[in-house]
Amino acid sequence: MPKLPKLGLGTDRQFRLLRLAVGVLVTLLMLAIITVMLFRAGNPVNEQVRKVGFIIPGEISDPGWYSLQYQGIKKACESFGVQLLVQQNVKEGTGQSRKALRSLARAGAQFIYLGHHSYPAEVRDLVLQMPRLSFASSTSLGQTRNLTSYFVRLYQARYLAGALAALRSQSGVLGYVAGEESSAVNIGINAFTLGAQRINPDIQVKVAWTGDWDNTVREQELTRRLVEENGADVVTYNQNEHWVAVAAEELGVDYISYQEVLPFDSKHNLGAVMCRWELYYKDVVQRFLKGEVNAIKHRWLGIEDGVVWLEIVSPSVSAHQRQILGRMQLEILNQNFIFSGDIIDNKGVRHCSKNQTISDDALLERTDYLVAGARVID
Amino acid sequence: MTSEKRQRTSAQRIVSSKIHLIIGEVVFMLVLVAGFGRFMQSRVDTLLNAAVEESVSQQIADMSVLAEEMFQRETAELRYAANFMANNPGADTERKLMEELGSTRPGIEVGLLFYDGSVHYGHELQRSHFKRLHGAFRGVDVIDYSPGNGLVFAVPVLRGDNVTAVIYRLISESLLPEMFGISEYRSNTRILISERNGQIIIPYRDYEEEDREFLTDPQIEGDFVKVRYKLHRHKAAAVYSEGPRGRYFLFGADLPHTNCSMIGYAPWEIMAGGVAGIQNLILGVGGMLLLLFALISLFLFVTQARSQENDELRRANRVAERANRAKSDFLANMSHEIRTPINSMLGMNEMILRECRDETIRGYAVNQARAGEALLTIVNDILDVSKIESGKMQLVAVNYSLRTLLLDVMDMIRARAEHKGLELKLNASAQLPDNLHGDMVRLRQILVNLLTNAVKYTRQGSVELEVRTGGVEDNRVTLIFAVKDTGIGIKESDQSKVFNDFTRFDLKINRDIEGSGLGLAICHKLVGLMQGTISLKSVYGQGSTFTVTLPQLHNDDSVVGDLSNQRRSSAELEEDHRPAFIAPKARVLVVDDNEMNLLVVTSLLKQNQVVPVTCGGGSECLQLLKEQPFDVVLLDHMMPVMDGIETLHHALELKLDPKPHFVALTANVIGNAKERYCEEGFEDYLGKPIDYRRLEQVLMAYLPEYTRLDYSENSAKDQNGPGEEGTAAAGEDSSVPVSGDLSPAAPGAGSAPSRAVPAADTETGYDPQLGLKYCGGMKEMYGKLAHMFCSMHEVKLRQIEEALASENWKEYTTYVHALKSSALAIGGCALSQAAKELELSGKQCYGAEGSKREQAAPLEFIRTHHPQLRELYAATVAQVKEYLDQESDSSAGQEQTQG
Repeated sequence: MPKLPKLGLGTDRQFRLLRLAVGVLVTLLMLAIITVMLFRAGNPVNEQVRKVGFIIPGEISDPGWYSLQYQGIKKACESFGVQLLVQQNVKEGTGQSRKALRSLARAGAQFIYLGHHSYPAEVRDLVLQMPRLSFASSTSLGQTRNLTSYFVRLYQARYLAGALAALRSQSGVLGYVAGEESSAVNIGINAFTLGAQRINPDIQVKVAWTGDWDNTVREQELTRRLVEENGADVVTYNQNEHWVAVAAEELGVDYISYQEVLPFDSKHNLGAVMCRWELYYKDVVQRFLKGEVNAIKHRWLGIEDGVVWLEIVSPSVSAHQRQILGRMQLEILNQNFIFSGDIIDNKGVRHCSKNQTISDDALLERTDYLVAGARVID
Repeated sequence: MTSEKRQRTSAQRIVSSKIHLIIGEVVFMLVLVAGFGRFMQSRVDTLLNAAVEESVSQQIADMSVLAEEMFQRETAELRYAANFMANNPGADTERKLMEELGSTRPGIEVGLLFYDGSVHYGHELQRSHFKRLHGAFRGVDVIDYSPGNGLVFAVPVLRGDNVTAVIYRLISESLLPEMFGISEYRSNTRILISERNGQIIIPYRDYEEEDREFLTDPQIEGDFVKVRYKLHRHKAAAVYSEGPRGRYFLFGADLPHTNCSMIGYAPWEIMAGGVAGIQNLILGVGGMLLLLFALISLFLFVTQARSQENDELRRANRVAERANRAKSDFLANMSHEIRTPINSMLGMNEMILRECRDETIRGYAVNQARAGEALLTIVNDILDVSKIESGKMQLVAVNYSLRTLLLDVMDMIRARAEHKGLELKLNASAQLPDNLHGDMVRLRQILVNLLTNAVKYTRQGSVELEVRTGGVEDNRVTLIFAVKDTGIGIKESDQSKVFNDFTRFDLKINRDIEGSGLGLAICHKLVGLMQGTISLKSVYGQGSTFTVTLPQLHNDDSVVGDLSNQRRSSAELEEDHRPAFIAPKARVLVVDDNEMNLLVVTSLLKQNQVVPVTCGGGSECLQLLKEQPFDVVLLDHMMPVMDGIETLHHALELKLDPKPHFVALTANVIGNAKERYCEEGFEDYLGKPIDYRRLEQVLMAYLPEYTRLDYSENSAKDQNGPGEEGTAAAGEDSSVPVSGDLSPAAPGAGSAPSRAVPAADTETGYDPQLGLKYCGGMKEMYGKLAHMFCSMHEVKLRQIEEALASENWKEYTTYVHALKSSALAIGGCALSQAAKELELSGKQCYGAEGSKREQAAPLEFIRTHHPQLRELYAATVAQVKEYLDQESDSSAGQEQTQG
């Protein structure tokens, strides 16, 4: 009887198993490769995540203006599934903005929002060098083919705030603390004055410039002066933070806050000039996505878009007063442009006549005056 | 049969499981191909449609620019007028311009609108209808649509920074398709302008009811919602729509300066016409790939199944092989076990034949002897087969005379052939080489087997052994042995099986022929082992010829001479009982603690002129080995102090050169004694009492050739050697020596003294005949041995008694063991038996060392039976002395007679 070779049984079995395993592995690998290829191919180029850049002078975590801006654009980007790249603490006037812009462009941002009114002038040449990128800012300065101004008609709420202040004022003197003079700030003061004059044609608005967007001491000091020296009994402001309101609360006078409803449980906390930045930025980002961001010269969003409104806080504002304010708001919605009809500045220069309106361009770029009734304190 | 059946069912199982596996595989593959194909198709569809959507939306984006330009043309005209009006204020200018702008066509209206709502040259516009119109008062161009009222274009008249008025042109809805309707830019593609909320403003020119139905279809409307959703973040968008109305692409783009969108749809084929081919290509190639993949895996699967099947077969084979080996082992063991009692039976039978005078009983005994020998042959055959199969068969090459071998074989067969009335012929050339070297024993076995077979199966005619040379090359010679008979022959169909185990043919005819059916198988295997061939030619009914071809070595040029029909001379016959060789130069060392055994070996070897060196213990042996070289060392196993195995181990450590051949001497011949001793390092073993022929064989095998001389060369001197003492036992036809078969004392065949030998003493069992037999029939030697036995009596007994007294059981056992063999060697059967029993008990005693309880029984046995041994010893010694006295008397008497 021939002897069978003893070797082979074990090794053969192993070989067989090995071969089976290799077969299964190859099969799975093939399937996996095909699947991955099909799915990979299923992501067209335009479905790639688009990137939006945002440059801002302050810290995004700081309470107040910067934080509000950041939160607004962040929510807007999230709602569109767009990636947000932030450059914060980019101090204006230092040239840092150029560096920030370059780094955002390098990081792949196709649209950059310049979060300070002095940035456009600083980076103008860079913007022109990047014609494929879109830019937007909230200032009328430095507009180019690929840099468009986006605004909110905050003045509409200022107008209502002026009316509210006039309704509350006993002394007929209102105080207005503001940082630096600019078209946008002037528009706010003018609208506030015009609104107040709708209630009381003789009302006076005393304006105090702090020369700074953030100056705790000066803001409070000027508030004190407006109240104690100039007899203002309702104050409002255009600053990054709320030190004016804090001072007014201490002084026991009414105040209307800016951007935020303050948590002071006080009858003096009349209300707040509000803006829903999220909607504003949504509009900007959407226009970017649709390729329309630079299709227009500038874009405004206002009370009719739900972006701007006056929030009445204090219960001490009477129902009657609220009614008056409601009526005035309706007027605006029914195309009361505020800057229409007779508008004469405090130097006696006429800027608008009956049955005319000041165009948005002029308002934005050339409001270098305060209307009659508004006066800067010494 | 059962294993065949098992194999068959296992094969069926494999086949059916293989079929199941293949079906499963095919189904699995189909499902995989179908599922994956479906998935791939939908995926490719999606991808292609996405690609087409992308390109369609690009196209529509371009189209939307055109649409916008169409609107801008309208606005540009108004703007021009507004600028002119701003630069040339005055009612005249206004009127003229309005007239210019105005159209005679009904449905187009032009006017000048003021902030307070008043209108010059036109109808008052409901501002609430045109929500975007107020933008114009902020200095922006406006295009606004109001359902039911029409499309208005408005531009501000700017005087400085201020808007003084707004020029507008209102186009009623009915005119819109005509003025702005976009003709199809490809066949079956429809493009229209809608409000952003989906309300259609400007349908294409040949807008029909059918198209309205299409656009209001819920499926289409739903898909347009998707377009709108995409437009939230894209300038233009397209969506693939598949529904009851067919396959379409729906698309849209917003017009940035208006509240309008451009939307449209096109059949899938128009947009994706070329792509459809690609899709088919991809699906085709993908399908082929999948099919290929399926086939490859099917192939793998089948190979897998096949290799599994091979595994099964291999496993079955392995089982069979294991069973076969078990069978061989069993046979080997059983044969061994069976052989021993058969030998006893034959021995007893021999006693009956020797002692019984009753003819009837003797007749029975003769028959019994014949039957026993036949049985023994079969058992030996089986043992051979199992040895060969388990690879334990070793060939022992010796020098031999072919002439002697052939005559021998012929003699063995002759009686049988003559008995059947057959003619036995030897046909050998006188020129055949005579002095050969090879395994003579196996060659003889082969020839005897073949011849026996031939005789068995031949009823009349002749049996012929033909021997010739097939070629000579140096000292190699090829011998051809052909065994021809005129017997019944073997059928052609059976010829191929003839060398199989247990094969017998024509059982009906041959049932009276005894045999195991192993003979030819053994021949076949032995020939194989000896590197020869065996073949068969046979004509059924006429006879057979078995031809064996074997290579052998030849030592010189001697030839066999004429052998034809020659019987061996009487001298040659005597040769059987003469030493096979003489080796005066052989250096043999015999180690045994028993002086009698030393004497036996020394005396036995005297015939061969071998003078062995003897010593009585392991340490002396080692000393001797160091001092002088030996060819063969016969080493007793059971020795006090240092036993044989231990001694061997020490000796092997000495690394002697030349290395002597160690052969174990043992009385414990059990089972596979040889294997056991070989494991320890021995090369062979000799059972005690020592069989002279075995001893001679062993020495033949292990003594170097140069020490051995052919007996015949020196036979002259020893013509009257001890051979005469023995008696002839011619005609033995078994090639395997049966132990105790030396039959030196065949009754009536011996010389005078044997008559004087007394019958076995019943009490002591003393049987001088037996002792004489162990001495190869040499009386002189036996005398010496018996003398020694007597003279050692006191010493040995004292040793035993001392060991007993000191309870040194190991020593006791060794001494008793020695007594057992020396007693048997002189024929003291009862004493040997008694010693054996005590040895057994002694072994149990020291084997159970430490355990008093286990020692108790054997101890008791020794204490009660030892005195018997002492008495028996004394009695035996007395009888031996008596025998020796008688012998010396009778020999003296004989001498006197002769003298």
